[in-house]
Amino acid sequence: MSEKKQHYEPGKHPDQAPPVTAVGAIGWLRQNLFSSWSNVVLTIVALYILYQLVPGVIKWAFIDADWVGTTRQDCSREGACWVFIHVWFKQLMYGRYPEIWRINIAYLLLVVGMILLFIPRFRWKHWVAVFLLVVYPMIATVLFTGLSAGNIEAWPYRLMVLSALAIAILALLPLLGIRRERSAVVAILLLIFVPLWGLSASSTWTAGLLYGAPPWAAFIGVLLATLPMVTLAVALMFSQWRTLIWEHFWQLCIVVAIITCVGFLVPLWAWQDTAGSTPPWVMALTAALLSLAAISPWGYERDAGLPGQLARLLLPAYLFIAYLVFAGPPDFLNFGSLDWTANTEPFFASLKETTLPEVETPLWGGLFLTLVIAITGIVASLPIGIVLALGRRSHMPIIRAVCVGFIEFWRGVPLITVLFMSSVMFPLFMPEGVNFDKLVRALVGVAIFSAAYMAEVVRGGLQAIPKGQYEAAQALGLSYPKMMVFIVLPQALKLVIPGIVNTFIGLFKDTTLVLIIGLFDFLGMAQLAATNPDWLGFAVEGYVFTGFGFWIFCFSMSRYSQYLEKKLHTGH
Amino acid sequence: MAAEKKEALVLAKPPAKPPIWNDPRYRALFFQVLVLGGIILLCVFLVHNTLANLARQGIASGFEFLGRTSGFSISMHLISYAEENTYFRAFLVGLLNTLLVSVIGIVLATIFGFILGIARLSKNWLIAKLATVYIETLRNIPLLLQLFFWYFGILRQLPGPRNSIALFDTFFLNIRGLFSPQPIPQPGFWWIPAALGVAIAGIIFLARWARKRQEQTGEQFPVFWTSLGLIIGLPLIATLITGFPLKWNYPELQGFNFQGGLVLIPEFVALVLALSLYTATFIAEIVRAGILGVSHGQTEAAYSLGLRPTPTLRLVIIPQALRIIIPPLTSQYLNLTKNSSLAAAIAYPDLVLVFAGTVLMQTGQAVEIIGITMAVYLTISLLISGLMNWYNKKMALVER
Amino acid sequence: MAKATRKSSKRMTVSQEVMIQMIDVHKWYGQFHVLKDINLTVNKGERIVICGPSGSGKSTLIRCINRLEEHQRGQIIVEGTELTGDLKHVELIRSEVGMVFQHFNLFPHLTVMENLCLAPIWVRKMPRQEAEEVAMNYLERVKIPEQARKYPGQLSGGQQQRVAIARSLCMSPKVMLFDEPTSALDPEMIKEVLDVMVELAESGMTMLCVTHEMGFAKTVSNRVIFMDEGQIIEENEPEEFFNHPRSDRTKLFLSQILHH
Repeated sequence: MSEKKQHYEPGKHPDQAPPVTAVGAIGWLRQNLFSSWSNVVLTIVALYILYQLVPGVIKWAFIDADWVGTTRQDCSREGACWVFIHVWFKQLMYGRYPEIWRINIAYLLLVVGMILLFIPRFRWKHWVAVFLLVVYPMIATVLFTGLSAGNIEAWPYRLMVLSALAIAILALLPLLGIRRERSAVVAILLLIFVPLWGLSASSTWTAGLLYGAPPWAAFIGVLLATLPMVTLAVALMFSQWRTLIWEHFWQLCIVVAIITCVGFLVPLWAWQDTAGSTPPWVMALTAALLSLAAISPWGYERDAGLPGQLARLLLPAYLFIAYLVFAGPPDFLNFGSLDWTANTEPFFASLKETTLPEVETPLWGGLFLTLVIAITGIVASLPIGIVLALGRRSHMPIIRAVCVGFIEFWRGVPLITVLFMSSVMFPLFMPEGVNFDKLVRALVGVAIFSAAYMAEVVRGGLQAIPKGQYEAAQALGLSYPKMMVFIVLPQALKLVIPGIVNTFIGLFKDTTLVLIIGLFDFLGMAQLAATNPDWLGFAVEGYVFTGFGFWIFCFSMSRYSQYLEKKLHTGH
Repeated sequence: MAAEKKEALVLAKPPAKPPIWNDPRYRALFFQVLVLGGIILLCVFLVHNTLANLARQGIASGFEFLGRTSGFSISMHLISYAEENTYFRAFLVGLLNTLLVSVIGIVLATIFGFILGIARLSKNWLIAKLATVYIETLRNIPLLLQLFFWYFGILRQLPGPRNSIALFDTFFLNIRGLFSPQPIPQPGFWWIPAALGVAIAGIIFLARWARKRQEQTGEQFPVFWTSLGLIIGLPLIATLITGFPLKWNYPELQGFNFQGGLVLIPEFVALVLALSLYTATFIAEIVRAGILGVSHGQTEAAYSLGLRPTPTLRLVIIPQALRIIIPPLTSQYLNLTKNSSLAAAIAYPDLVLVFAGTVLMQTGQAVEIIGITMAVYLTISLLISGLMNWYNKKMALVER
Repeated sequence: MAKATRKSSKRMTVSQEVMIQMIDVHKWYGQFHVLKDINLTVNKGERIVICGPSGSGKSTLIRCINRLEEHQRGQIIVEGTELTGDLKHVELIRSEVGMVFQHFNLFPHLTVMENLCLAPIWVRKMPRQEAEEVAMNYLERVKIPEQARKYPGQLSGGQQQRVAIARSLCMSPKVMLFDEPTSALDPEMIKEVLDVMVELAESGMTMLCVTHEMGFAKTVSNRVIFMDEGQIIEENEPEEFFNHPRSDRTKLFLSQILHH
């Protein structure tokens, strides 16, 4: 030891700097790159790989690249031709969509909503979540598909589908920690439904007028169909009425249902002579059931006996019945079918005025389409996945078997066969004359496929909840649905958020497969551009650009999920 | 309520039967019947519609079509196939092509993935960072995009046969594919595989003997190095003695294309490249998680018992890491197999392209064909996950 | 807390033969100075208890002795072999020094018997039968021979720690290092582990023990070392140490640990 030794009293030794060989740049190099002979060799190999790759890539992508121009002649062909991307940029982002401001507004709304959600101490998060899950899809659908005379007759269907989705999501809201007692939220939710019912009622109205019902009858019908819901929603805003309403919840529900029923019946009497359309009583009954279904999820805490139990069943029943009525029942049930288009065409043809021109889905494309498919897929798959996961852990053998079979089937086949199935087999499954858009069929396929994966993610969360939580919930006297909704699922879903994000990343990457069934997503657009006769030979630039786009999305999401995972681990 | 309860106590009446909708057994039964009924209704609805639609469009149903002549050719077939063969034969060709690309992809992805995973844990900063960058880049880019990159971006841009890229004048890479010499065994060739067989048998025997000897005397034997010597040495000796009984059929440029040799079509090369490079990133992460999943205390305990790094790895770390690695690894294998169906996008004649593509177009029997295709993938998945469950049960660590 | 009841330290002898010598040992974690100028000599048969507040470097100190941690300055000599980067020396020392960890670190994929036999077979090159006999012998000493065919996951914490001790003993080490062996155990299991340690001490084993079991320190050890901030503050016989602590820090520490 060359250093001079100095003695200190016990406990008085000061902190000293470590020897230079252990820290600093030299220490770092020694430890990390040259700690042994094998390490030196590895370092040299790595440096050689970098030397082979990096300068070439930089030269190709930046130094020798062509940046400005409008035609392929502007590319000197030494390096990358970014002119290609520049020229095709709009198509890559939006496809052939004509009015991109509509998409941009939807983007803006989404981004603002997301930013608000991520502000840690933001007080109105629940509202934002409700907006994003319930209102936003409707706004986006209107913006994207357009709202014009040409497609008004399709709106009852769309509204039905959207409100079905909204109801399914509403039923999930308690899981997000929104309690029924937060009456303001409830009121807002109901207020959202009022215009919805209003709209479907008003389409009934227009149709009623067409068939010769007197206007006053149609007007009264609409008023009756919407008024009870509005009243209920407004009443819920005041605390003294709120208690009263919750106390007589089921009675009120029945009153609302009856009034709605009558409301729908009034204009529909005029229809009776229209051969081949859905009988009015079916419509009326449906309307009653619809309004019941809309409020039934909020009756969780009332111990309502048989009527309560039945009302809960309305949620699934609603979807089926709504389908029967509005899409037309299958022939074998012999109801006849409702043909909106044929009967209403002359009326709508007269309405030439347009507000938002309709945009057919074949015009949709690029990154926009990718986002539409991925986000719809994930939002739709979450509720289905939760139901499947609960079913898989159920004690009822038939339900368990059905869920296991469903999950394992979709997880066992490649997405491409699912897409083939939705494009080739789906039309065969539907009754004659019912045709779904190609995009809708793909969405259904994607949603079912990812629901199976989502179910497994959620199941993982359910399994991670300690048995004590279930026992404690049961000891408090909670029934199965209450236990799941208030105790287990909120915890389980929180646990699996990283898993959900990972599923979303997988889904996001998998959306590229839709180009095989002829939809032009982000990659599909790049492929289309690269096969354009004027721009042959720039495929690599297209792939690098789209690859970079996908990478940014997926990488940032995976970082986010890792961050959440870390937070969860330290949070316990 | 309270009064009723009291009365019941006093009189000790048998408890009243709960109303039928509050009896959990009836409830369960009711829900299940409801679900089952719904499903049956749905099935009836779908089958009814499908039958009606098929009848209307005049599409035949049933599986007779499998016996009919296909009338199309397939660019790559492992079993002999021509246009006059049946659709069933075409199905087999597609299935075999799917299996081939999957198996080769799995082997390459495993090798590459393990190397990457270990590289990412390397103490060498540069190697670890390189591996990280590779993994984080490729796993976040869609597989189909990578497939297109390799196929349309690279392999389709290659020069024609006349300007092939030549490696050592034996391998030729051009737009038609990768041409390599094809080995043609000569008389006496069988000595070489025989020697290999003997070597393998020898190694098994050696390993058993070495283990027995160690159990009895404690002496250790360098099994690994001897095995390596045997497996290389014996076939080498056999080759030398028999005078290299293997001829190579070199590809030669004749007219516009190469003749002879072994051809790997570009679709195959692109698919294998994309599948294995992409899946390798996931395998790398699994391997890394597996190794990190064995707590550092295990290594420390083994070291403090005097075990050296190599036996520590072999006896303590790897057996535990494998338990963590194998289940997700299998699901990656399944993913790779399912992803091989992307072949359809670059026209590699796999099951989906041949059967769910061409055959479906020709016959129009969507239900049967998509059904069979899905059933094949489902069978593969269920078989492998069944095996996996069995393995997991067997290998699970025994806990209280 | 469980106390080792037998007053047995008198019976144990300490020879003058030096087992471990640490001379001016320094260690850093990055910029952090963990061990500062450690000088310690351990004779054969000594039972040393090292105590001190958490983060004082006591675990690091004993982990340096079998080079689970590398020291950057100074010398550590175990049985005449100096610990350097030379792998042969490290292996030699590790096979002569046994170590028991706070979290047992048993190999969960091997049975208790296989845990015990692993090192004798692969390091000592013992035939399996002999190794199993030795292992059974030690399992009897730690009083759990009936658990030999079970897996560690099936045992209680106390049983696992006793298996860990037996596993180290199977290598017939000359020194045993204990790194808080009872800290992860439930109170009723602490006693069964301490009993085994006391018995081990009686048999004349050289022991270095990081522990908070002051009862064990009082009755079994022949020297107590108090560490703080990476330094040895005080070093004394247990009686003196507990009854007449010299430094203020020691007094503070003792008051905190004894009157809770």
